[in-house]
Amino acid sequence: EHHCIMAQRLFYPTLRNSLRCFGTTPGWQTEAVAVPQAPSAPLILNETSEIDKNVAEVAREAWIETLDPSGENLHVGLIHLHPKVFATYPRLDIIHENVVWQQKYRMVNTSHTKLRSEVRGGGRKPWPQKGTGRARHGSIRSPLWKGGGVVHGPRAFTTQFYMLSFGKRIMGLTSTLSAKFAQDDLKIVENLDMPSDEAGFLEKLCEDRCWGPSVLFVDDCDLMPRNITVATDTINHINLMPVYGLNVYSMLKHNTVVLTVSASQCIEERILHHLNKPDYHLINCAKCYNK
Amino acid sequence: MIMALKPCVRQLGGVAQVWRCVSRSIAHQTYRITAGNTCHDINDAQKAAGPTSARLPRLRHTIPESYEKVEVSTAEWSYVERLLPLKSIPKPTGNPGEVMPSGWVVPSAKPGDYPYFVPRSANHMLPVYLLHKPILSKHVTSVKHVQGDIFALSEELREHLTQLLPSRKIINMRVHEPHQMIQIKGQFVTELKEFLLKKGF
Repeated sequence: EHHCIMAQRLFYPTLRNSLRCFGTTPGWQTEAVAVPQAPSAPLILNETSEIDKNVAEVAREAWIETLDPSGENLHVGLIHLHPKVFATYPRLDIIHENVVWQQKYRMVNTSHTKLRSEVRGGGRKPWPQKGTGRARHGSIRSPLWKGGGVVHGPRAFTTQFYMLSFGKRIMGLTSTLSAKFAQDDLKIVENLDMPSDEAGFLEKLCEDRCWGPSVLFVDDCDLMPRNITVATDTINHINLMPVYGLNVYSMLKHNTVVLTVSASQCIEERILHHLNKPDYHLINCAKCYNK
Repeated sequence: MIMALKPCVRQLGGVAQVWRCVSRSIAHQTYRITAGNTCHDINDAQKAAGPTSARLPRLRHTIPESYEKVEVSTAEWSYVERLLPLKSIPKPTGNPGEVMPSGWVVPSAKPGDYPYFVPRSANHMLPVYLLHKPILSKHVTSVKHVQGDIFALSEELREHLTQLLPSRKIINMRVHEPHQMIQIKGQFVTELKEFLLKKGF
């Protein structure tokens, strides 16, 4: 058991997965390391001493499950999840900001009002400047008049596009992952290989394990195995997603989020890279966009 | 050879315009470049053809003989590596509680020592910040990332500040538990940093 604990970062992708991936994973993750499973030695992943001990947050442990119910054990191993990604104190206000941003940035307002030049009529001076005793006017469609143009009203096709700051987006992801994990809605699975391609098989599997009505499977490769793709094709509430599509709205929309081991490692590596990089203060500066 | 397209307007009984290709250069003269030709020969040939706008300089791409010998060496890589920017913030070295020459103190407190815990920021600095609204006297000091019993820390801070400033009757504080932060009205950054360093955070 000691050699398992001291092993630095054991990767357990299958050879098939590593040959199929299109470079969403970094180079060091596509090594096909075949770990022979001895019945006595349990598979324990990511137990590193790199995690700072001077922090109140402790590394979280999660079972590695399998989508193949025919094996002896439901649980194939144990994985340690980094506390800075999966055990942060969730910021509800930032999760809300992320959800609102995801909904609003693609909105285009179509409400429209006419200007005084666009309202029909109003080209002629209604009465002479002087002599009538009435107020002076140049057109019957000026904003002062009933039926006249609107000065600062909505104009059609105004975009609601804006970008939330990078730090808030990162914090949104970490808060949502931590909240999901704390509420027992985050599951880790060794890979997405299923023995059958029937939709009923997958639905029964999710029901047996009490995975919520809607499930989001996240893998680090965007080409998913055939069986799960066929099974989820007809079911609208069970979805597949590659790691680069991970977002706060989808994680909240689905009851259960299921990550593969390689996906969780990819997410950890990327988020920790951004949290620990020395030029974090330059993220929202114009300099970065000009690179 | 320069080709110029000139519109040739012809009214063929009301039919649309016809565009005809007209070339205005040495199109009627062709010459072949043989192995013996040099730049000068070609230029002379062009000059002989007549004054045209096709007298562009001919580029000569030559590789001097000295560049052909290239020596590959990896002995100097360390000089390049030390100039490359860091990919992640380096971990500081030092014994817990040690004061560095710059004034930076290595944190020594562990999570179990007090009912609360205040970790350093990603840049290994104390999470005490000064917010200044655009009004002369509106300053707010905030302590962020307070884990554990935040109210216990707020009481200790209040005690500490009343000791330091006996003339001040009221100390306005906001304990924001969901955001793990304490806000104090006024400028107390140095006082709070000293307090936290004494505790070992």
